[in-house]
Amino acid sequence: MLHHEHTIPLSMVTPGETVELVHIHGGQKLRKRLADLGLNVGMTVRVMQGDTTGPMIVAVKGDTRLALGRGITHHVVVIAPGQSK
Amino acid sequence: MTLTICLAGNPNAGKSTIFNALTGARQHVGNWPGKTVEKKEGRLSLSGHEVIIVDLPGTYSLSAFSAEEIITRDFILDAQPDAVVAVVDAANLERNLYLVLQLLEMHVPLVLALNMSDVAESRAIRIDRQTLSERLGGVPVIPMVGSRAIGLDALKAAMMRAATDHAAIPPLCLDLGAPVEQEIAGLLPLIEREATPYPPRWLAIKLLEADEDLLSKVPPALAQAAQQAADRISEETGEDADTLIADARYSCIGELVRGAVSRAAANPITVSDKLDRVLAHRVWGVVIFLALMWVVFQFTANVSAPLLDWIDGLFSGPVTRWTVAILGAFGLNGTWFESLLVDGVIGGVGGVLVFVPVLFALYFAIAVLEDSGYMARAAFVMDRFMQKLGLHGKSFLPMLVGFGCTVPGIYATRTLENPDDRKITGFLTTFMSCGARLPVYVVFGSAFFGAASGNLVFALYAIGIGVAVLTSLLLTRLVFKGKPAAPFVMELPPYRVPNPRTVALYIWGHTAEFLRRAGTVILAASVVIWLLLAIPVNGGQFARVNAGDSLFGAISRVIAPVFAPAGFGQWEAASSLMAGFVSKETIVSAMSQIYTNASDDLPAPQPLTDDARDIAVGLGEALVLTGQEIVNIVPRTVNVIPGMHMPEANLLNQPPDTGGDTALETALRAAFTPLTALAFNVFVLLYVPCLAAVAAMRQEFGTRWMGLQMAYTLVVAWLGAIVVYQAGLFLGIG
Ligand SMILES: Nc1nc2c(ncn2[C@@H]2O[C@H](COP(=O)(O)OP(=O)(O)O)[C@@H](O)[C@H]2O)c(=O)[nH]1
Repeated sequence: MLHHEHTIPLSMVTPGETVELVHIHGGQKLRKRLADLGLNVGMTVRVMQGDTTGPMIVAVKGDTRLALGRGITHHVVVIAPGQSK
Repeated sequence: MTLTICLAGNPNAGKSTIFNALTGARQHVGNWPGKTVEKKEGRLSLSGHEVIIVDLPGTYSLSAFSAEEIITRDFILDAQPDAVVAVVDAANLERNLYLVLQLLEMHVPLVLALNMSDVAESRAIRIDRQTLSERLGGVPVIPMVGSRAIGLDALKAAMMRAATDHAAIPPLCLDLGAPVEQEIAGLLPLIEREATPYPPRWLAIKLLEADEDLLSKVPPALAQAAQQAADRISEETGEDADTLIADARYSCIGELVRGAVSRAAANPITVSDKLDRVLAHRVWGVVIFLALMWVVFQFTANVSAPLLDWIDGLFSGPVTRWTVAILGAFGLNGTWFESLLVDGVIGGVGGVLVFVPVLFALYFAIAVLEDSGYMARAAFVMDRFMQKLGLHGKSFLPMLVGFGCTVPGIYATRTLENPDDRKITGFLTTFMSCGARLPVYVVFGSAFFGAASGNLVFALYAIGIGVAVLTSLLLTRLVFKGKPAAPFVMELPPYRVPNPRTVALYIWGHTAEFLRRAGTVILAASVVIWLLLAIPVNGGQFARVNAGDSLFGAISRVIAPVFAPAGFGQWEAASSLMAGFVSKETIVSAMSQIYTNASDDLPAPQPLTDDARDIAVGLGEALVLTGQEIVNIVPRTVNVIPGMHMPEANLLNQPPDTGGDTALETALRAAFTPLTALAFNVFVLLYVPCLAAVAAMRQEFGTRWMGLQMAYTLVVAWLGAIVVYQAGLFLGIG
């Protein structure tokens, strides 16, 4: 699948923004774990809290809040905010 | 007939709450065989049936990501429960349905407990359970508020119906999309030919998801075929099979809830989010965390102390006296039997029971932190720092608790999810100098270093932490090398007021488990030690020999030369250390017996009524002091800030503890030099904490790991003591 929008890692998104998840780099184990928790390609996530150096809190699927380590937020690719499909 | 019904669900969906509501105190906490995952089982009688309820571990999925998931799935496949209750959080329905779909794929009689209905309602989430039930193929959907036992009767009825009336659950067959379905169709004949014990379609999906556990369990030919099929899928679609399957499940969930669930505006900012801005803050979060940990530490170390002293006094005083008196009536005074009962059994039972108040305090603190939702935040804020040591954010709590007592510290490792993290943390916890080691430092400190004795104590605590840091680097670099750290992903449950019933049952279940599991080991070992002390080797009578002439003394003499390079190669020192293996509390009393030949005389007998009064008064005082310790957490905390002084409450007007065991101190000055004293103390700090801790390690991590840890602590302690002594000699101190 090709994405023509600008994509950035989730770690670059500022708190308060909502973005669409397009790809997860890394092993199949990581992808599956994230999918189990409600983070799969095509979903929207909202960054609740975090800075560029530490872990992040994101909101997915309604009211679920997930804490994601730095190692993961670098691997999750999202469509840069401010663009629509 | 006995029925087995199990509870499955996401963590924090309210599974334990519903389990407790169903079974009450008729429950049993244990471990899954060979795993460090907790197993809870309870019983109840329902309409003439005896029902066993099994609380499966909380999971988000049934893939093979964690021990919890494998346990859940194996239990459902192997034990074939009569019904499965899926506990779901109504306020997070979509994510919870992900697990429900996977349970349905396994063809089990299912009941959906729609818990947290109150939370969903307060967030204006409306769920049409009729429609939901129909779309799930007729699975009963029971709205519940677990914490207030609302819906419990309806759940019991639905559960029994599902378990007894084996109406086939129509398998919900979700369409995974043409490319995946085509490969499933290709795999099915192969699977049927191999006659595996798994439902065929379920197995085909799992194999395409590259489930490591199942790929290793099926015949190699099938595993290979599945891998090729998965490769074809990703070639054709450009996405991996597992992503496509997860995607299909989520679209199916989208269909399921469309029109059945309505919610107000998406993603409102909740109260929890606002609290997290402070509690999960990069800076404030850490400050608050450290403050809370300090309070937990005070709780386990000090609040439990008065009751601990009371239990200790009860066993060494009245219980012993009565036993002696009763035996006297049978003419058994002075016999070996009396000695066995008094020194072996009563000493052993007392040694087990003194841990009960400590564990109560610890489990109270853990239950409140967990149930309020704070524990997840603690891991979140500390993760940054602990990662540098190769540890997990949650490793901090067990290590801190370890400064109070190693035993609850070991049990506190349960709050970590990953078994490797648990083991490493348990390993490090033993180097946190526990409260029972302190009296040894103090006796040596005042015998050798006078006013500077505080420095000795401080240095020993610091050495313990240093050794822990080095051990952590060693373990994570060498032993667990190559195992990538589990990615840090964690759900942050909303904050809640802890449920008193959940907290009470948590404390009760875990303390009872300690008594059952560790208690028996400690009791047996204290009888063995008694036996070693009773067997004479230089002539003399059984059970009436000096420590030096017993088998215990003989073994000490054999061991003693090992400590010569560390400067304390006398049998008395080795004996004291062997006694310290049972518990560090006994080192000082063992030393006063061995070094000064004093025997601890029983207090003069007194009438039973006086004893009864003393026990009651003692208990009353202990309870008052417990209250006082709780209050005193405030001034102690304030006094930590330099320049602040706030008086502590002293309700019973007790003089401060002065200690001072002068006869022993004189004897020690004759037997040790300041340098050998330091080396001896380093050994006391680092070696095997105590029998109870060893029993706890065995219970938590298994016999092999326990043995490894005992060996490691002994070697490190021995090397540490030698390094201190030899370095001292080299520098000319000594
Ligand atoms: N408001 C509300 N809270 C609940 C309900 N059921 C459980 N809780 C609380 O939710 C928290 C998590 O519940 P617990 O049973 O420990 O979840 P588990 O992880 O699934 O075992 C606890 O604080 C419970 O008291 C419910 O129906 N409504």
